[in-house]
Amino acid sequence: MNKPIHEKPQARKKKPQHTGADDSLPGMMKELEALWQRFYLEQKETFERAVASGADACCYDDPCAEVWDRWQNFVRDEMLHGFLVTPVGPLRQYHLKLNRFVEAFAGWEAACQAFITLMTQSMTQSLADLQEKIRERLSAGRPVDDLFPQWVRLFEDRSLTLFRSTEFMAAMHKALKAKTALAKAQEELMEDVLKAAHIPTLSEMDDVSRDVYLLKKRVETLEKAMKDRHGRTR
Amino acid sequence: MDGRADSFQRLMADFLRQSAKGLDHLLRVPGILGRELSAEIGETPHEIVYTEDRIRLKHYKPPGGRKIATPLLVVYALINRETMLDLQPDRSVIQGLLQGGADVYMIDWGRPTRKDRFLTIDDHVNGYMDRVVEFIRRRENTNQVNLIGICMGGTFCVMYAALHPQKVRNLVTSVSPIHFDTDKGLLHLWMKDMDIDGLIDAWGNIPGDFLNFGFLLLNPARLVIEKYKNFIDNIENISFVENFVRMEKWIFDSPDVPAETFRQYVKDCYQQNLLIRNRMYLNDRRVDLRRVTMPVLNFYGRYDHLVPPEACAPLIEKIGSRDAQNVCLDTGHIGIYVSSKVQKDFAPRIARWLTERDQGEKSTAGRKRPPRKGKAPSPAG
Repeated sequence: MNKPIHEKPQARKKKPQHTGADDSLPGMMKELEALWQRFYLEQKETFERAVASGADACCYDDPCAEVWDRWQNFVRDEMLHGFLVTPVGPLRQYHLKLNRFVEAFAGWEAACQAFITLMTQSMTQSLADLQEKIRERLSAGRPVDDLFPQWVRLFEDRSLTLFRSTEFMAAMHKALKAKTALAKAQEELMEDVLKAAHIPTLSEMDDVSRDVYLLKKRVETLEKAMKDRHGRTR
Repeated sequence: MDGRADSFQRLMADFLRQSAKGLDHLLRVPGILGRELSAEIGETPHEIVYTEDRIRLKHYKPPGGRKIATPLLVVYALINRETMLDLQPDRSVIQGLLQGGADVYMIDWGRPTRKDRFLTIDDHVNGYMDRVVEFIRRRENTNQVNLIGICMGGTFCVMYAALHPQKVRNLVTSVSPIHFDTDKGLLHLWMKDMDIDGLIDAWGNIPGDFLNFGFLLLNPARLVIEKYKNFIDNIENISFVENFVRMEKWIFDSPDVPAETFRQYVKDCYQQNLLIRNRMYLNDRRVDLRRVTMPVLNFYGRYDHLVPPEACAPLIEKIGSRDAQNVCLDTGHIGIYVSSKVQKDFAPRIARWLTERDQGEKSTAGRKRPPRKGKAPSPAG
């Protein structure tokens, strides 16, 4: 009896166990779908909580922290996990740079948001202070005028107190560090792009600038030595 | 309860009235800003007499003739531009000095590019400044110049005067930080732990936009919210709008600062406070403030949030001069140059002070020192 045209498929070799992806296309699509579902549910939950807030919402202490923490956890656990795979192959160094950029961007986003959240505290606190002042005056039957100058003064006081705190300075320095890490990662990527296009890169131009600078210093030193040897004109 | 209800009603009525007025003004802004405004800055006639790399030397001639024989060199900071000193005809330090009879030179530091990132403080002080001074000495046939330094430019002038005292007849500093180890100024606090190496390695030159943002952050309530609210409130006052636009032109015209200059300025001054301790080096040359032996006039602002009085006033105690004065003005950092009240006295006072110490020096007969006087604390300007 002849073999049927469609042979019985051989048993697949078992793949090594690893957490995460099914490497086939349908598998990846399923993972993407799961990712999207989770993202959608996170946003939905956040929105529901936000609109469910009551009348005291304007007197909150820390309105966005939970929202932001949930987003950061999502980025760290889901998105970065998908991006930051260990690169292999001839293009691995470019992949590494891209990974560094993605990581730096995530770090910058987190640090920046933490910094902005902290900065806006002074404004929300000053608004709460103003509310209190208005309440006191209304209770006493006194006129409430010059609201804007009063609020500016309160905002200024709160800002200056906040800006002198170690917490704020730590957040600011962290945001700056994250920004510089992002700039460096970005520059690394751009170097590859420019080299591929045969365009001089920043580091190459810096090398030229440094050489020119040092040459100019040497010329100045020589000119001065010659002037001293031949006597000053004044 | 009636009292409360009345107060609340008045509050709401007032709020609505002010909102309507504010909205009305806001809607006029595009129309006002869209028209031709007379808002040029730096209009005092001058000529460019010297150029080197990115820097230019401006020369202003006194219209009423020269009354101070020794030429005056004005050195502005590397942050923002020297056009602040010539903002508008009725608010111009340069014009005030010219009317006082001074022959004025002013350094325009230009706009650093990436290639300037390796320039150090030494390159600015012992390089550009010294060559400019030599040029003026040759041109004016004089041994010495008078120096006026503004803010960081004043710090540079103090360093220059310490390293080349024989070339400086009189020194005027204005809102110039010398003592950096103070927690009175927010900038001083922030700079203490700044990772300047990381910033420089990532960016090269420090971007002007970054500096702008930092300065605005020092007091966003006044410098952003109140300022633009005032602008909208006064939108129908064309003179106010033109003055406002002039200030905007200056305040957001921020060149980048050369990387190595900024690195040394932050590390040696803000973080280690080496200058006032006579331990700062410019390319192996130590800056010793005791070598500043010429007369010194030191201005600072009582309400200066950028360079507080504690950062400026100690200069007088540390220098070797016996003719040195502190003058504290009731104003802020840039109020000295924009406040019409302060303007009336600032430049004329400098011109008078320089005239008293001029002695008609023009020959090459040797360097003469002005008569020595005791250090007298001066009353508030």
